[in-house]
Amino acid sequence: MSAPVTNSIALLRAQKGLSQQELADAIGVSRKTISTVETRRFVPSVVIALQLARYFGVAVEEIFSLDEDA
Amino acid sequence: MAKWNPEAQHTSLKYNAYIYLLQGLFFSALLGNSLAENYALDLGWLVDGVVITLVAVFIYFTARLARNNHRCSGGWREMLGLYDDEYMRDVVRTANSCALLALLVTIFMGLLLGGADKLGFEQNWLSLGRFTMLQIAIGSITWAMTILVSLRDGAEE
Repeated sequence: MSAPVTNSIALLRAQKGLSQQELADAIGVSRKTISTVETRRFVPSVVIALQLARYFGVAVEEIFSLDEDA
Repeated sequence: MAKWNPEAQHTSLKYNAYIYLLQGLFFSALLGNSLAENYALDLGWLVDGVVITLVAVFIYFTARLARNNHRCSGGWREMLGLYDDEYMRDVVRTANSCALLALLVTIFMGLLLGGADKLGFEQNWLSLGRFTMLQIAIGSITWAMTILVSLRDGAEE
């Protein structure tokens, strides 16, 4: 079952040419965390959301948004 | 306190689950042997074989864990299962809940069997030792399988 929150991590990661492992190392989490967040199996905490936003240099709302269809 | 590498936490949790699964299988084998005694069957040789195999697999997994993880081991955090990676914590919480639920169902079944025993089932089949073995086996296998299913690995998605 996917979480009711969509995210654009895969897109932002692709724009920067990063692998999941490189992104995970950059923000200090496991690759599995990044992988499950991307595939909407896991909704991360505010701390990880803010770390991702700071890393990509965008607002949190540009990464995460509520899935209106859920 | 040095940060425990998140990838090492993933490896540690995965091997921890393998070890719990082996523990569950070990107690299942002991329970099977104990139940076979009711049929006057001597399955001691089979249980010995299973136990020896499980011990060998246990040594293999612990050796692999030590080899793959020794540079970034969590030390006492690893022993106590104090993961700080968010997904690992979430997986452990889910596994704890599933194992608790499985144990509660087992205990409830034990209560029903013990409370309304008309067929002599309790007298012939049920003992505190067997029931404890059943609980250990069910709890361990449920916990381990929940972890392994949650951590099933895929290539970079």
